[in-house]
Amino acid sequence: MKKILAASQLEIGYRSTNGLKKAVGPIDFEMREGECVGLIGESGAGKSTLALEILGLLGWKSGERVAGRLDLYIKRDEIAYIPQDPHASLDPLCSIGDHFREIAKKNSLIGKTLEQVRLPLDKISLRSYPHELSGGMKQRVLIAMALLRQPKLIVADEPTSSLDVTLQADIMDLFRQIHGGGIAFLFVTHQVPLTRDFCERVVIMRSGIIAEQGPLPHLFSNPANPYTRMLIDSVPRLCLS
Amino acid sequence: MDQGQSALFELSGVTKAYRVRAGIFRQPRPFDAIRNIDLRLVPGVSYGLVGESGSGKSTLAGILIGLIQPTCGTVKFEGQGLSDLLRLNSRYFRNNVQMVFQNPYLSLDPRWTVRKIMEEGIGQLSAREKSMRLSESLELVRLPGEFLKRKPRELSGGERQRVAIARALVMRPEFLILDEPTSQLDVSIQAQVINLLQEMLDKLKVGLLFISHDLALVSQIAQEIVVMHRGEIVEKGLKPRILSSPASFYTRQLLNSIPPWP
Repeated sequence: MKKILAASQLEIGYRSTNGLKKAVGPIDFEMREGECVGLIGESGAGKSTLALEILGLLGWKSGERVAGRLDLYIKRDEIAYIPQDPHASLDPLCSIGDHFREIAKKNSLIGKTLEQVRLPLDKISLRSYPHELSGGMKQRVLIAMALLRQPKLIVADEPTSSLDVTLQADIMDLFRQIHGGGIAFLFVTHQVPLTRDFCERVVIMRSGIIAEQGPLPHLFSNPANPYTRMLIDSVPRLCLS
Repeated sequence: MDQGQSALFELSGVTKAYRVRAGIFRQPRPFDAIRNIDLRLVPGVSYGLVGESGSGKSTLAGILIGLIQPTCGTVKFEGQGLSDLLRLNSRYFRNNVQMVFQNPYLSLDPRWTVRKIMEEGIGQLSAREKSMRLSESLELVRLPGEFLKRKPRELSGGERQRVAIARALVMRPEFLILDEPTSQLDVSIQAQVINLLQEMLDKLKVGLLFISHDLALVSQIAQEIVVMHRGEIVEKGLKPRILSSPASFYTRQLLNSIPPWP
């Protein structure tokens, strides 16, 4: 499989009044075509920073690459992003249709994508505004927007953490279906169980560096790093007794 | 459970309607956040309240603690009407029922030290009694005594939530309401808080209402589970029964949504 991105000795920092604060690095990381990688870590681990650097959006948050390199073997246009908070990610003054038409001009493509993300057009119309939609619907709109770019890689940054559990299960089903179509995923999450049936490989991050990475399900059954073991043990299990 | 035992809380026909506007120029119309709730909570039992956002969990918690007035229906605490009790003897109620809120970054006053936060409810006690209560509840949440001097900004998320729990425990309440106490915390910190609550349940004879949208999490704490959906209680019963043979379609859906683990 062809590589789509590779980071070597990558270090990223944020500039503030107190100088530069390192958030990530040094890390070595690569992804291949059609691969689904889970990026797991707790808050402050640097997962979103790494995702933003891959998207080329780091400058917005006054972050910068300090050392090392990140090579992309696909165009930046072929990377799509699904953000965490669907409520804050759509323009409240633009209709859903406007959001779509900003990315794709062809109506046939929009129709096909809406079908793919199972957005019921009898319930919402392209003329609806974001406030008329529920959280799950908004997230589907954002997923449709990501797909309209016909990406080779989708970076999803905690895409289900602001959704209810039942919606989360639906969205994960949708992701599995999209991934089945050959699109690579970088799935950023703090919910370890979500990666189990979705990702082929996971990368565990802790305070900016990679604590452990490896293929699933092997990594979850035999974690080498005590931090990984602790994360796995922290997941609440259904307790019947 | 324990039908014969006298109830701590007894709710009958409780409805809370909010007035919502669908648009800026539209007339507000009433919307029932919770509808016709009948609920009986007995002392010493840990209850779990599950439901999705908008199902009315937090409204119900607000009504139990007396922060929200129900539109209709009656709420009784130990057989006495809650609104009367709050008017006549609110101290008695507050001593017995305490709440831990969702967001520890908002629920602690940033200008106060941990000592001041924890002493607020027990100001009438003697200095000796006060310091005894403080060290007792700090020990329960496993925080060192030096934390009393700190301010919330010097604490991590997990430590803040432990202070919030210690603040509630200092009153030696009979019943504790925890409204999504771990949803703002990392998974490893969440596990710490859950272990702490389990330990606390073993040590103290305190009743609990643990509110969460995560059924797996609730199952770690609760003896009885109440499931809410769109403002109504769809199912209530002992945990093993609810989890092994759920009667309601919605409970089954919630169970199926739990990602498989390990």
